[in-house]
Amino acid sequence: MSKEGSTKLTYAIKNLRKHWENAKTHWQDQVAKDFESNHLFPLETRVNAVVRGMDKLAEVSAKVKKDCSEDR
Amino acid sequence: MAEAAKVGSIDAIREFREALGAFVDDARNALTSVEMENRRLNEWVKNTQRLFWINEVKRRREKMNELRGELHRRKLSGAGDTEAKEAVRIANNRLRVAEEKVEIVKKAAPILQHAIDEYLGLARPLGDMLTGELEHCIALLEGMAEALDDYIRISTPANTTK
Repeated sequence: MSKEGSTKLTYAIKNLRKHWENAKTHWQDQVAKDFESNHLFPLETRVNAVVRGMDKLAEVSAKVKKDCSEDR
Repeated sequence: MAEAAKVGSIDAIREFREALGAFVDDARNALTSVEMENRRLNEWVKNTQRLFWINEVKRRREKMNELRGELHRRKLSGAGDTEAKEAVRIANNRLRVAEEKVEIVKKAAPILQHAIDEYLGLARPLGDMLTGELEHCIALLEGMAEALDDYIRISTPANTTK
């Protein structure tokens, strides 16, 4: 298992945050604040947890691959 | 009284909606690629490598028996047996490695499954969020942008004559 998935996901959420920061400069009412607290913050928390999960799985997978392969 | 909308640029909302759509696609792709990799690795451990090492034990055992026979013949004939002994020692080591690998592969399968299950416990809620909540948000943002467009059109009748 490579770390490709977590790298892609990290890049995607950082990119989304960048777009949000830009949108926020033009959209500054309560709806925007609610959108950030109700959707964006929970999304970032969830994505970060998945990224850590992917990295942990990648470590286990790498060990399993090594252990189960033929020794060179 | 509700707070008035404070939107300086409708395009900024649309750009963010597009970025959110792109994020949903990218995140789905990332989750799918990890899921596919999990399946491949699981199959490789549970079937490919399990059978490979079981066959290796059989093959290496046959090889060692063959070399033991050769060593026995050399001893009986009084010929030098140093090389034959060394060959038996190496073959024996190779057999032991394969036998250990059978056990390692057997133990690795549940370890991998546990790690995958733990990961899925985190990934599934995100997958659900991408499909449900975020798709709803995308629709909401578009609806908001359209409503603001309509508002501008109505409040500036001169624009409609263009």
